[in-house]
Order: sequence, then C-alpha cells, then structure tokens
Amino acid sequence: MKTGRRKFIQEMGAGVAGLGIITMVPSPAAQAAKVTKAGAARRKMIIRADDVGFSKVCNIGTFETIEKGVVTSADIMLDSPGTEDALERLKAFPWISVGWHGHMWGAPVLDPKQVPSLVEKDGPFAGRFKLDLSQSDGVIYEEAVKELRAELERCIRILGRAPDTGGGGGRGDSPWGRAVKQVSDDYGLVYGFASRAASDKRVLDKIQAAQKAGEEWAKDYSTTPNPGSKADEKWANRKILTLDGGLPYMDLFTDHVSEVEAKYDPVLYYTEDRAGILKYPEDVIITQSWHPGYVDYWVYRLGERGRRARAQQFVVGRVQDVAALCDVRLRNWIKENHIELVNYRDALYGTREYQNHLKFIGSDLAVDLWNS
Amino acid sequence: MLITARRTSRSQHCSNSRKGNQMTTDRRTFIQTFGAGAAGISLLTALPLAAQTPAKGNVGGRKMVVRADDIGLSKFCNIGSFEAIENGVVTSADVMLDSPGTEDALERLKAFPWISVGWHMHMWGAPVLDPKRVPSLVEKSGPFAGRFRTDLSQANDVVFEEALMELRAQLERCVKILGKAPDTGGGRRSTSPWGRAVTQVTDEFGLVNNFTISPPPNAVFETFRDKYIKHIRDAQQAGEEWAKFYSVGTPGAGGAGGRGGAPTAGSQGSPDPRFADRKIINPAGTFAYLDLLTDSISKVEKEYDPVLFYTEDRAGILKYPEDMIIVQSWHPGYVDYYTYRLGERANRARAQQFVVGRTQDVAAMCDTRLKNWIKQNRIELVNMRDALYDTDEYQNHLKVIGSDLYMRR
Repeated sequence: MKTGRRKFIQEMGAGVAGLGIITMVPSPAAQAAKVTKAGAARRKMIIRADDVGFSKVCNIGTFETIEKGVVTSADIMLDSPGTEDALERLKAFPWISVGWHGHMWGAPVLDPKQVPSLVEKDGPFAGRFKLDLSQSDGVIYEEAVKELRAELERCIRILGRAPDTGGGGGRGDSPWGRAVKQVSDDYGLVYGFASRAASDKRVLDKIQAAQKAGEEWAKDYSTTPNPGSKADEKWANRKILTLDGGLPYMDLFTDHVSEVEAKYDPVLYYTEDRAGILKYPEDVIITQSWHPGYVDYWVYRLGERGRRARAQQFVVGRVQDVAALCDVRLRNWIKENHIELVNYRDALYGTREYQNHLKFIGSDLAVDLWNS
Repeated sequence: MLITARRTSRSQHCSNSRKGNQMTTDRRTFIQTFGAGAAGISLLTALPLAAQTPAKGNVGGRKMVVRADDIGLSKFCNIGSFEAIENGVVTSADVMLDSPGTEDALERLKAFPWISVGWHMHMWGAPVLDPKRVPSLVEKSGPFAGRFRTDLSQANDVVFEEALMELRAQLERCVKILGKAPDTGGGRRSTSPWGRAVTQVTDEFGLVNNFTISPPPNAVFETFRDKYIKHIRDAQQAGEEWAKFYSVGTPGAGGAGGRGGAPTAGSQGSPDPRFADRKIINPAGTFAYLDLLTDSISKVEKEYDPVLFYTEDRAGILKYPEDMIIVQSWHPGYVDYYTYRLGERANRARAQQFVVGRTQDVAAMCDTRLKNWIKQNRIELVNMRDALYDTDEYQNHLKVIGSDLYMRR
C-alpha cells in the first residue's frame, strides 16, 4: 500500500525534474565548449535565505531549501516565534553561514516589562515590538542594548555562536540604531562588507507606474534612485556585491493573485540572467537573498504588521522560493555557468566550507567535480 | 503496532517540548503574551456573554456541523488542518484518498475518533494503484504523467473496470489505515464510466451520501445568494478569468455554481429518504467563500474571514428553524508548494484563490470570537454521524475534555 504513495511522490519528483531537464539540457556541442572553459574561471555566488525563524511552520519550508536546495546562508530573525526552532535546526548545518536579520517583527526575548520603551503598550499587539522601533526617540537606549544582548545570548546558547554577520551601523543615530551598532561590535559581528549596486531602472519604473495608478502597496516604496554604496575599506577587496533589492522580487509587486502565479519564479531570475549576474567580472561575488518558507497564519498576517499592503505580497512567494531553490533548472544553470556556491564566511575569509560540504556529500554542484 | 508507533511519536513530541521549555521560557512568554493579546480582543467583543445565565439544557439551541475539506492535500497542509481539528471547532473531516498527504491524514485521524470522516472526491492526486494498471485514468505524458486526468469524471474512454479497481484500492487503503471506510461520500454520479464506478463502490462499502435536504426559504440567505450571484456576474462581465469557471445560471440553494457546484457529499437526484427527517441542510455551500473570489491580494486580506460568516450571520444560519442541522465546510490548512500550485491543476485561475485562504481558515476555526459566537447562540457542535444517527459523539468529547463549548448541560 505504501508503495503507491511513495511511487506517486517519486513520479511527481520525476515529473518536475523531467521538465527541468527538457528546458535545460544544452546541445552536446555547447556542453563541450563549456567544459573546456571550466578550468579557466568560475564565479562565486551566495544564495541567502531571509526571514529564517519566522514561525516554526515556516521553517519547515526554509529548511527544505537549506537541506535540498542551493541556499548557502541563512539570515535569521532572533525575536520570532520560530527563532529557537531555527537555531536548533541550524546546528545540523554548520556549512551554512548565519546572518542576523534585524526586522524585529516579533517580541522581545526579555519580559516586556523589563523593556517597556520597546513594545506596544496596548491593543492586540501589546508586548510586541513597536513598529517605529528603529526611528523612535522614545526608545530607551539601555533597554535596547539589554534586549539585543539577550537576543544574541540566546543565539549563542542554542546555536553555540553568534551570527557571523549582521547588525552594524548605517541604522541612524536613533537610540535603537546606536544600540544595534554597540551590540554588533560587542559580539564582533561583521557588517559593511558588501557594496551595493545602484537602483535598477526597471524596478523604479514599475513602482512609479503603480504609484501613478494609486496602488496602495507602491506607496511604501521610494522612487528616488539609489546611487549604490561601497563596502568598508577593510572588506573592499572581497568584492562582495548586493544588487538592486527590488529586481528579484519585481514580479511580486502586484495586487493580482494571477499575475504572481503567472510570473514570479526565482529560477528565471537566474536562468534568464535578469540582473546581469553573468556580465560582472568573474571575481565579483554576487549575493542574492530570497524568502523560502511555508505559510501558516503567522506568516500570512501576524508577523509583519507595518505596511500590510506591501507585506501581503510576500506570502505565497515564499512557497515559490522553496520550490525554486530546489529546482533542477536552477541547479543546471549553476553547473553550466560554473558558479561556485559559497557562504558568507567563505566570501569573507576565503574558506571553502560550502564547497567542502558539497564535495563530501558527492553533490554534482561541487566545482571540483568538473575541474578534475 | 500502529498505535504503539503513534504513542512513541507522541511521547517524543512531549519530551521535545519539555526540552524546549527548559530552554525557552522567553519564547513561551512571547507566545503566551501573544495568545493573551488575541484572547483579549475576543473577550472584549464577547463581554455580553458574561451577563448571560448559563444554558439549562440546550433550549433554543441548534446543531451545526463544521467540516474541513481537502484533508490530506499534502502532509504539510495537514499540519494546519489538524490544528483546526485539535484546537478548533471542526467536527468533520473530508479526506481526499488519492493525495500526497492522504496516509498522513488517515494516520492522524485515528487519534480523533470524535471527528466524522467524509470522502472528498476531487481526484487531484494520483492513483493508489500503479498507473500502469489503470492507464485509462491517468495523464499519459507531460509534467503530470501518471496523475489523474482532469476530465476523469466525464471522459467516456475511462475504462470502468480500472475505475472500479482504483476506487476500491483507495477505500481499502483507508480501511487499512483508519480502520474503517469514510462515514460519508460517494453517491450516484453521472453515467460516465467513472460515475458508474463511484456508484458501485458506494454500494459495496455502504457509504452514506445525498442526505442534505433543500433548505426552506430564508430572506437573509436569499440576499446573500443574490450578492454572490451578482458578484460573479459582474466579474464575468468584466472579463475576469476566474469567473469563467463559475456558472450562475440556475440559482438554488447550495448548488448554484460555485466551486465544484454541489456539496461533495453528493446531491444527485432527490435526497436519500432515510435521512429526510434529520433535516440536514448545507445552505451556503460554496457561497461562503464569496470574499475569496477576487484576483486582488489586498481584498482577500481585508475581507475574507470565516469568523465573520458566522458572527455577522451573513448567510442567515440563525434564521433557519431550530431543528435544522446546518453544515458548512472550509479548507483549513497550511501552504506548501503542492498546495499552492501542484494539487488542483485544472482551472488555475479559480484554484489560485484557494491558497492563503486556507491559513485564514485555520485561524478562524480556532478563533475565540467564533467560539464565543457558538456559546452565545447555544450552537451544539455535532459531527456528521451525530447529524445522521442522532448520536452524541462530538458533544461527549467536549464534555470529557471539559470544553466550554459543551452544550448539552
């Protein structure tokens, strides 16, 4: 009896894989040409999963991509209902680097009574973080420091170490911003290591058009072009580059259910090279993040409370991200283009943690396998 | 054997959470705080309840079945469905016997004997039998090769014997895991090969179906129905893709257009006379999902909430005679990729409206506002067997666990 179901799943899997192979298998000649070129150069790439720890249920999807997909780095929220579950799970994946994802959509680790200036006083969300936490002058610096330390210490207690990256400066000189910087430095978190590319015109155009049409979600976006920024001197030679943050999610920027299903697919971001990743010099390490996870009610409505019109666009897309990051078409693209998947520690320190893992498990994504 | 396995996994679960608790006072506080917040809202809205005198017997109460549909869609989706079953007001579970989450759902259901089980016959999945044995039922090629054809129930080239063999296999797997066939399901369907096979297994396994009767006139419901029909007509006129899958030509209780039309329990022909005096009605049927029928993401979040269907009595449930047993189904579940895109393959423009709504249904079925409404209106929650055979299974369960939803004082 069990065979029936197992077979079904296998066939489903085979079906999906089949699709990928049909669309992706290049002609033998093209393949041969690539192989010859392989030894010459390869490009490093980081694939980050964001909002890790959102909820315990959401984590199930997230860790599917960490386990079976191409995710090399996990940006975790240290204040969410799924935080402890995520930290416990991450212990089994030492080849995944960990970042601190500072949304503060959840609630303090400390008793809200100990940090009253950080939380909603009343209403349905009493005891959860204030929405204006990072800007508010009413936040008491000492409370912020105490809470942020508590978050990091819980992380160290469960995971065995603090996040590798995150926190940092550039968050303004509000009490919260100063506390984040202070605590990041106290625990030696690395930040400011990535350059940021200028805004992509396609994104600005889409937002501008939506604003003109009076679409609610678009009001939460700015259409002022961002000129980009440079990494801190200390890390400049690592050439870690973050591209326009909106481009990968552009197909989610709509109020239409049908449009999302018809268009949004992170696989295409890579395979159609929408961001021009393959056009950058080969020593540039491109980092791109996604939001893989499954959807429960917390993820749907309760997590991100501010700017709902924008937040509600990041719901089913999370499920698509799980599928995309495990998709054979994406894996094939990585192989064909000689992409060397790395985590942030690899990118920062020149280690080979992620590739060593791939090699050890015999993955066809390990770059050494085709170079030898 | 299976029971032992279940116990083991449960005790593991317990020890995990104990371990969690040692470490997680903070998180617990967070959840408690959050829960208190949610309860807080509900208490405010429900304050009049405190002033009421406790019900003596269920005088003036009415019976209601809350059914969860699409159970077994995927193992992950089941997590949400069973949250609604365990912590919510769901009394009956309609299981798909051909889905990736079927076996998981059947295993889980063994722990909930007070929940009646229906057979939810979408056939969105794949045969239980090797597809090679039932070639006429499955897609021959393409990405969905080996899965059920989308025209299964109408196609004339479905081989009757294959259909029969497969349907028997589905029910037999159910009997093997759950210990019994579904309480309800099947029915006298069309004269297509598939339809005839369904009819035959229904008789073989003695499944009960077609037990709802037409509800009597009800002005509130008629207003609601007209609103639904207008909504779909407007969308059709505006050329909205999803609306093309609905037919609103023949207004009538429960069966006018809607997702799959009539309730799954089957309402072909006149109702089974054995159950006519039970006065089971499913007035709103698919009309209850009105607020999901839109292509707008923001509108769904703003408007769709099963709690309001009840607390605002949108369909006029409370206006029906009190001896009528009201059935309404929802789709509680969480969303993975199978649930999002791979399960229901046909009519995607319509199917894609039943995605995030599932998580809303989980929250709604567990919502204190709904529970308070049930208490305030002295609704007696019953499962489908209770409704059919006048048993007290669901209420007995509520009594034993000390639930304040227990109505048979």
